[in-house]
Amino acid sequence: MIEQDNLTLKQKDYAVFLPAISSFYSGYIGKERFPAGDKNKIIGDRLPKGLPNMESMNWLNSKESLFPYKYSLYSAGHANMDLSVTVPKEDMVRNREADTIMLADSGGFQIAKGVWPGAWADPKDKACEKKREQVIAWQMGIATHGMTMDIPTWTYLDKQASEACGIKSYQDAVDATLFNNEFWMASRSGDLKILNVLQGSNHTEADQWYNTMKKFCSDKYDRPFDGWGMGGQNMCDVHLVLKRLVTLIHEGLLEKGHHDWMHFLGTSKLEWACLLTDVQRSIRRHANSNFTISFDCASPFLATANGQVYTNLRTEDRGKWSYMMEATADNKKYAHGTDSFRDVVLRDGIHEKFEDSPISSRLTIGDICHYAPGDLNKIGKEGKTSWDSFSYALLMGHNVWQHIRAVQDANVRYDEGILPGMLVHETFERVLFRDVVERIFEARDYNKSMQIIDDNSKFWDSIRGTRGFTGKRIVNSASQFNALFS
Amino acid sequence: MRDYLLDLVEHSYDLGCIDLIKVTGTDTETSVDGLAEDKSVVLQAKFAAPVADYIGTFGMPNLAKLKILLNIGEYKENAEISVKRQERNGENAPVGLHFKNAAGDFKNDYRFMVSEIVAEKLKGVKMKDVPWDIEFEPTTASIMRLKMQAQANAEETTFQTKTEDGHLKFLFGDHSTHAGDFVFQHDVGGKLSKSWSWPVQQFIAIMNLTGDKTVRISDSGATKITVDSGIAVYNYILPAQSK
Repeated sequence: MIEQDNLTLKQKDYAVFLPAISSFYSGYIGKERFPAGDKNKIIGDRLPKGLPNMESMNWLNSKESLFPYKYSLYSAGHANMDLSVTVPKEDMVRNREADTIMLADSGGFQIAKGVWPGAWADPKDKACEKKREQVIAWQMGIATHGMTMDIPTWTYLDKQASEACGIKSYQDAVDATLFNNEFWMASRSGDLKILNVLQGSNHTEADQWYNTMKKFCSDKYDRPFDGWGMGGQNMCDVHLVLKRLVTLIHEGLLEKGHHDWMHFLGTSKLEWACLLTDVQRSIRRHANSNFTISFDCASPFLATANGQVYTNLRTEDRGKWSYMMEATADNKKYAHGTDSFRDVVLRDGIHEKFEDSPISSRLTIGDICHYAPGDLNKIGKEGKTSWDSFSYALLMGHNVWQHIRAVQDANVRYDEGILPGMLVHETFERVLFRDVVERIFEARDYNKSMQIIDDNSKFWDSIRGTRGFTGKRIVNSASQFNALFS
Repeated sequence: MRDYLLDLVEHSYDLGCIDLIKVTGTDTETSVDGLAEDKSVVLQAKFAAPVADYIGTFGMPNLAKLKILLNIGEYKENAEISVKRQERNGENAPVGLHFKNAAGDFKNDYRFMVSEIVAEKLKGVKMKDVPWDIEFEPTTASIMRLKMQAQANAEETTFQTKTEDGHLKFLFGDHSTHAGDFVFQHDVGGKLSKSWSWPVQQFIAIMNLTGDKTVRISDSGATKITVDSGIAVYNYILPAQSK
């Protein structure tokens, strides 16, 4: 019986972090599941002695994983959406246990970046039509929740991307999203719960967007969308988040059984893991007992791609909270080394601190630093790095555990009364984020709630988001400039 | 030439937020446009008289460099600063400034940005018509008082405006912070019903410029400050700051 660190059980009532699965990583799960179709038998040769199989790194497998965790996000932008064929690298996502939660992102980001070219402002464009059909069918085929195909309002600001996707203005982005939403509404079937993505680069745009798109969650439709996706400024600006939530409650668009899920795109800050838990709990108490907030990021995978591993967690009282990432051991002298990975990186001063994960604790230094001097890599050349592709996969697994654990541990600490500096103001009197949030939602009165939000405007500004306008930049000229100048 | 350029640099680059301007010259008018990177200030200026050397459309990038060149000792007395022109697309277009000291043994070239590029980087913007609810000429004393409040409230990047009993008040901070307010202009006549926010640093930088100043504030969320340096009339439009 494998010893498991069951992260699903440890999730409690915290806002839910969704690892944004890398297809590079899921590819290794697939390689083991489909060995016959795999010319490159890297798993057989490379599987560390400490790991029973690749499924031990698949957190969506509750029986075999070293760290079962039933939540994830997968993006259409990385996926093979042809469900008529078996695709090994998609199998971790497609063939997973029934009670797992998979949020399928729609690829709106790919449109905005010009990676999915087409005339997206033209509802009749055939290439876009095909992509829409593919994505919604794929979402319905593989996911429990799906995002609408939103086109961020900043799309037109990138000239090259704007040319590629045909979105030339803010209004083009709104109109194209409107059309995509109608398409999603008309095409949906089955159990897929659809999240209505909100965009906007500032409060004015976000309000306009919300007022345009909110109908898709209303009883104007027989089967309205089932929740909300927070993009653009909505995902990084607490002031806007709270205003929106109060408005949603007031307008009957956060109803139990109808709009139970809200997802924050690309959110990696630990403080947000805690504050979103506060918001979720408060709303469960006062408005919708089913309400769940999720947030995703790809940091565990991106960090590895940059040669970095999560080493430890920093959660000092009144300090900045973060998971620490550092460049780790990459040296051919370690090839075939049998000492534990952790022992070596600490002994040789590569990291001052290194907290093992259920994966790293089973690794030797040679499992990561695979190539010895003179060894040739897959393309028949001697590279500078001692890592092969599988080294990255192993460290990604370690990083995913670290990230989920960091989110959960941060919430544990927060519940114990240890506070991140961002979520408490003590300049004049002690003001806790969680207390203000509770006052906002227990007021159950739109004007009172909004007044409390506005009264604490400076507090919200001090809570930095992952991207967008945050901190002092949150108050800026963009909105009025757009209103005054053409 | 040097005086014109110094005036231009002072009234654009010295604000601290503009590093590229577009000059559009004809035989009847020479105008200048600029935009702060964060869109906090829109500059629209006209020289009092057309500058013959500036006929054409060109950009002046890297104004920091131009300021350094203008202040080099070698170019302060009897230097020759001339606009270089070249045939471009069938037109005789300005392409840069040539600096040569009095002795002719110390030289620099400052290059202009061609019209196509500057048109891309500084897209022409047209302001919608808004009513200017308040108009006044700020006093030196008021500007000093503004600087004192800004210093006392250095953590605030914006201040708010409101009218009270016919006077224009500037307010720093709010009930949740340290705060301060003062009357910037007495008896302004007009009335502001909305409490817009304005960028402290940019507003003071404009107040520090050489020239006669007129301030206009609109309830629609815009402030226009006109500075007449004698060489040119500079209009600075500040969109209100908001989330």
